[in-house]
Amino acid sequence: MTEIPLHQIDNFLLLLKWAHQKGFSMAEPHIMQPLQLYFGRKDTEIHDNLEKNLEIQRKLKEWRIAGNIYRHLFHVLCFEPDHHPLFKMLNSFLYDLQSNVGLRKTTFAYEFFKAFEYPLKNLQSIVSQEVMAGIQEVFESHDDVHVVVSHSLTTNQREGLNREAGDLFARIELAYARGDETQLSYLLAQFTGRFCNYPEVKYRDEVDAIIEKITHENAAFRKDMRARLAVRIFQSIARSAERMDIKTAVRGITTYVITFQDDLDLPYRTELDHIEEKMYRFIEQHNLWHRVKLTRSHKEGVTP
Amino acid sequence: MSIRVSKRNTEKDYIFVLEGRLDTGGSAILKLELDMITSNPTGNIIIDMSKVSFISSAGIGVTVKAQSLLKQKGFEVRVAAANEEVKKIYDLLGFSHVVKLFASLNDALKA
Repeated sequence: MTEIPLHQIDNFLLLLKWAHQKGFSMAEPHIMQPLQLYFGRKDTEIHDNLEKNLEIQRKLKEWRIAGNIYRHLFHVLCFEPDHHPLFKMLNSFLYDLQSNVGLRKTTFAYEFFKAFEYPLKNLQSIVSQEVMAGIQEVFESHDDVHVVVSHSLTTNQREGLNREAGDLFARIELAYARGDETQLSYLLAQFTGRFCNYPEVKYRDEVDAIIEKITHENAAFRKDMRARLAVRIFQSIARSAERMDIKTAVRGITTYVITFQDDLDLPYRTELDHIEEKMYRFIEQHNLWHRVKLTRSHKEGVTP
Repeated sequence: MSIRVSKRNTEKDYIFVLEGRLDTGGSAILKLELDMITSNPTGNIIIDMSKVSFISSAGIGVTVKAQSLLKQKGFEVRVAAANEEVKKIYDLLGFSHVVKLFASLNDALKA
């Protein structure tokens, strides 16, 4: 059975969080209805349409074969008027998927993601439009006086970041020694996402060396980890743009180019295009090119 | 289609003339063309960007990657006649020293 890629699970969690924040009107069509349609139909429910009944019976039979505890829980929860327990259950399920490779390979997991394929695409497109509109609004409502263009850290901040990087690196080393690729992929993506805007942080070379080693051995791991990294770096760029911290956004884009170079098959590439276009136009309008330019030098052709 | 790519060869170099936007969609098209050469190059790649209206990190990434591959074989990528904004974006992101930018196609050919 095909394994569900980790970056798809990350993305599901992200969209789920967003839908939950937006409330029932957003969650109902994109999260609840697909669950009710594909996984929550009651055995006893009668439909006028014979074909529909047969299809539901067929699906129920497949779930019985899968025998996964989650399907029973979803079955009960997705018809409850209060959708909070269902969201909690979905979260637990997705976190379990992240940490359990066996679960990622089950028929249930495969069907679950198939069922959500189109609802999540629709939700993704709504989220993207909303984020882009927010960023557009931010660029339109600011003038250069309010723009954040400097991002130097204080000594305390630098020490704090280095401590954080050290803790994370210790966990990375441990996961690497244990050969726990799921955890390793998560931690490496977390490290890169968290510190991509701080080139001065420690342990960067050590982390790069581990990435190099593991991606050399496992191509699927490499692809999945890159997708996870791309999402994290994109989020970091989008957040910086929303805060009008243009220099940090520029730094994030540079990291993105160094890390992914000509890999165009990554999540959120088109959204990144849109953010860049709006940002460069803003920089041009306010003549900020020199103020937001990076001063550090970059290595040519880095990382996997 | 966001970009049109036409190409021709001189005795020693490959010339690509681009027209349109070098965003993710356009860069995918350029990448396909460049991949055919970077695997076994016999000269420099000169990219005429005089008619490129916008470049995103995707376009920059494609040229940076091509440059790193060509450099291993003793050649280079040269970007020619890019408009001011495209040049500023290369410079802003810190890649104007990785990929060489020339004022005109002739300058890039003579270099």
